[in-house]
Order: sequence, then structure tokens, then C-alpha cells
Amino acid sequence: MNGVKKILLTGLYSAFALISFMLENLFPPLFITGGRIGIANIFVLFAGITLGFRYGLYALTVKSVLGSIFCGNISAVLYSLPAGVIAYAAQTAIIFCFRRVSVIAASVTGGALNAVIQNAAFCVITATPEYFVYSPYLALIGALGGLIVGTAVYLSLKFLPAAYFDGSKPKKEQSD
Amino acid sequence: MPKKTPAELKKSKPFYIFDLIVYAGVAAVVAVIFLAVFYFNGNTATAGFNFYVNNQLAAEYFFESDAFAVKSGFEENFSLSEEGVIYYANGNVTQYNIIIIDKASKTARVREANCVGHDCLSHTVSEKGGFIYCAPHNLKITPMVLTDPVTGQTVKERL
Repeated sequence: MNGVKKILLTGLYSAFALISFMLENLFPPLFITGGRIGIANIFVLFAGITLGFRYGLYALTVKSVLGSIFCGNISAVLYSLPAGVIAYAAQTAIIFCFRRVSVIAASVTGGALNAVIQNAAFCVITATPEYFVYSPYLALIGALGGLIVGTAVYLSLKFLPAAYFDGSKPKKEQSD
Repeated sequence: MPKKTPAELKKSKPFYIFDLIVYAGVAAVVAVIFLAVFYFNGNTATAGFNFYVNNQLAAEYFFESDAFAVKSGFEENFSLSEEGVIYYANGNVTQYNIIIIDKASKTARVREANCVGHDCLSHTVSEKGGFIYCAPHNLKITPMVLTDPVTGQTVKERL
């Protein structure tokens, strides 16, 4: 896959991630404040796996920065972006460096890590240590979100044609 | 160790036996956080509620006397009405939180607010614990501990 195609696809995945983030933000949180599935991470992780680490990072940055601006909470970037970057790096490291660990397990790890780090950063930045009480519950919700995201990414990879990965054109089915 | 390629990921399985190690690690971390939170979050007797604005103690409510006392410099932020305690962010009447204090059940909650997100509406603070935090309006409501952990002075002695 050439660089131009990768950039175009990165833009597409970034847009999907941003739209998913904003749509999910319209709904109330899951069980407790800050509890989200993180549907947008499907596109971030998918971009990271199929296009490369830095392209997934671009999609993550666009989602975090523009999503926070459009949702009216610019300060959220301070804790959502660092948490997202660390979780994304951990996920891709697990996926690409460990041959006997599945995409779903890596996504569960990333989801839990993202929730804990984001909550900890929020407590430090806003000087509200009381919020740390929610960390274990947010970690569980994050792990659940990671399970859903990982399953979606795994199924997407399965259904994607092999030609998508090696850059060749898909073979047309020959009719008799 | 050779890295996995995207093409290999397409052929990968949804579950490997080593995934159990990953899941066990995540469960262990969650368990440690649970233990840490409940170990350090010990129950202490409470005498009322503290109201913080920009992390500064701005007002206090006392169960025993049913009194709401506003600290000097924050008079423009609070107003008492039949609806409850009305908090105005930065003294601006267009940015508000209406706080209901139930003396019988010794609880406080935000009944109405025009902040972004409305996260403060889903929390309740009581004599047993909890807290309310409205980030857009910089308002925090926490239980007032009966005894100051630093000085050992009780709330009654301080009054």
C-alpha cells in the first residue's frame, strides 16, 4: 500500500473515529461518570494494525483533540490524549510483539489501561483525588469496552480481503 | 522475536492460551486498585458538608444546627431560596447549580444545573461518603469530617 493511499485511509478512519466519539458522547455514561465503551477506538486500532503505528496515532490525535473541541470540553484533551496514547502504544506493542496473544486480549488491556490512566490524570489535573474511587469500576468498564472493540477489529480483519494487506489488486471472480 | 505482520493477523485466532495470562494480569491490577481505594478510603464520622469553589472552602453546612455558612469572599456565589442552595459559578447568575440538602436523610444532591455534561446531577453526597463535582462550574461538595485528621480538633471545638 503506497503512502498516498495510507494518508487517505487515515483521514477516513479519523473521520469515522471522530463521528463515533461524538455520537457516543450524546448518550449518558455507562453505569458511572466517565464510563464509555469507546467505539471510536475501533477505527484507531484498525488504522494502527492495517496502516501502521503512526497512522493509528494520527487518527487517535484527531479523535481526541477535535472530539473534545466539538463536544465543548477542550480541557478533556489534557487527560484523554495522554491516556489514549499510552493505551494505544501498549495495545499495538502486545499485538505485534507477542505472536501468541490475540487482538482481543490486547484490546482488553488497552481499554482497562486507558480508563485507569485517564481517571488518574483527571484526579491530578483537577485536584479531585476523591474521583480515584471510581478507578476500579472504570477499569472494568474499560476492559469490557476493550473486549467489544477488540472483537469488532478482529472480525473486520477476518472479513477484509487479503489483497488489502499486500497492496495488490483483488482478483476478479471469473465467470464461466 | 519476529514481529507479527498485518497479513498474519488476518489469519490469527480470536483466543490463544496466553490470553489467559493477559486477562489475569488485568484482573490483578483491578483487584489491587480496589484494595488500595477501600483501604485508604476509611469511614469517618461527618458533621455536615463542605462546599469548595476552585478548591477553596467557600461554604459549610452543619447537620446539628441546620445552618448554611458562607465564607467571606464567596457571598456572591451562594444564595438560599425555597428551592434549595443556589450556587452561581463566578458570581454569574446565568451559570448555576441548584443544590438540595435533605436534613432528614443527611444527603445533598444537585437537582438542576446548566453546566456542560450534567455529571454533577448523577451523584449524591451523604454523611457516609461520596462527593459531587461540577467541573465546568468548579464546584465540589464533600462530607465534612467530624475530626480534623491533622489537628485532631473536632468541628464543635472549631466553631
